[in-house]
Amino acid sequence: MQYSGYTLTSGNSQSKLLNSPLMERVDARLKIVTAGLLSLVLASSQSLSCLLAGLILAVVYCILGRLNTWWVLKRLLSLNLFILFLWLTLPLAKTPSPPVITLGWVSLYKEGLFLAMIITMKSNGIMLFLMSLIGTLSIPELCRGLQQLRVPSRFVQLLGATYRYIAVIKEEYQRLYQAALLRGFVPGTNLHTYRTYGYLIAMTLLRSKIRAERVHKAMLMRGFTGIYPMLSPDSPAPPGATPLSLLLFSSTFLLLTLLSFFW
Amino acid sequence: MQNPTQAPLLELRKVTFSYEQRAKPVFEQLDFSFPGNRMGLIGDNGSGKTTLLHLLVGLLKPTTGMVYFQGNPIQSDTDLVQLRRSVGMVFQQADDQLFCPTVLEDVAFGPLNLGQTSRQAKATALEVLQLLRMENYIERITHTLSGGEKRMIALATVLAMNPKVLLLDEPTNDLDRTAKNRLLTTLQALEIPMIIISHDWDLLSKLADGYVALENGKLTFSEQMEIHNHKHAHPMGSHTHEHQHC
Repeated sequence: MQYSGYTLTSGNSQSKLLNSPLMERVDARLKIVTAGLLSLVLASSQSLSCLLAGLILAVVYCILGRLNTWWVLKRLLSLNLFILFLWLTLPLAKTPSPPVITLGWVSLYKEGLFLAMIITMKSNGIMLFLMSLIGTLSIPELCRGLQQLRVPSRFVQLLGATYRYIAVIKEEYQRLYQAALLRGFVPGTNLHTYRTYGYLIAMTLLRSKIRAERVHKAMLMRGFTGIYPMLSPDSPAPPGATPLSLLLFSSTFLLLTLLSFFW
Repeated sequence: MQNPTQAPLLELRKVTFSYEQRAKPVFEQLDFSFPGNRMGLIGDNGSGKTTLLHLLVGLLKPTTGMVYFQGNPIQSDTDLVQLRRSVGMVFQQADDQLFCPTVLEDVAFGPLNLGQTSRQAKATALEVLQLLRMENYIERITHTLSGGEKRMIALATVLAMNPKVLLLDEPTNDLDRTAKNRLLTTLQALEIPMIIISHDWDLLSKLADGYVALENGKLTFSEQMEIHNHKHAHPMGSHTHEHQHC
């Protein structure tokens, strides 16, 4: 199981690969908006040239962001495992045009193959853009950026709390699971197993709720009144970095939009 | 101990409280006043020690009766906010207390709520962490800290608000000897009145100057520790230790 928040940090703030001013020291809001817009263009485009350009540019972004290659490949792998199923099913869909290949009982059709390719390009492009833009933000930066973009405070708090507590909840679940194992629990395909898993999950949920109440009390004791205050960043982006990034981001957006409409 | 000319710091007057699901009230017509010393609060598990602390700061609302802070009744939500800003509570589980991603954000949370600017809050956080000799932890991710480190940071988050009273709920629970001694030394050096819930007699004898025992919803005060015979193991080899007899 992967917890994106957990690994984001280990890839970002702990093993710092920083100091690419174009990507690193840019206002979080700009990155979030850019990531949103670029994803939107790629998601809605049917143009091959736009998708191809998007894919290439996304790789360039990752290089500019100095992302760890293994880190990127690992994430792309899990995404593409999912997409593999589309390749296995979509080309089988029968269309009026003649099949491209027929292997005994199985016929593959052009439309399905094309669709699978487009989806692959789109999702990989979007994923790479997200990794280079959002993945280079720490969770506090991301939360602050979202809050400044007027995303409702509850959602931002939810994100921050999830990041903080998902590891705690996982530990709690594992403790319960180990306790079950130590008492001779062997998972199988039977009602006893399902019931035990049901108990474990229910108990984890219940404990999380009780924990949430305790956390809320702790927040109240430190003067929380509904608004989550945030620290501003230590080192604001140096002058020059932001206009340059703005130029890069907006030209990427323009190029992809134009390609998507005209080619 | 209590100065008649001065109102007690925290006070409960004729407080009755019961959890809804339980029929029997935890407290009935309970009077409690905290003059501002270092008070140890002792009692068996489930006797209501934590409940008492939570009543004192309005985290739980008494069914009947009133809470007073420095002689003033706590009536409105504004009073409550004011009270909680002045009282620092260190919770039993430090994981519940540290809810921000990084140590810095967590320690700065309180000062920001008190209206400090980002810059001031950071300075306050650094100052408190330096006081506790924890300044190297400022960039750390909270959930990667050890139990002892979490407890020290939890104390820092509370001290950053410059509290008038500290409420410590089993502060040395789960701590090893080194972490415990470090916390004890830190607490001894603080000149803040505190109420300490603990089963740890060693800690209480070194920290508290008065005791309250909670049993069956009733409080028994005793200002000094009583002489007692005791047996306990010294697993780390023989070492001398003091017992403060009166």
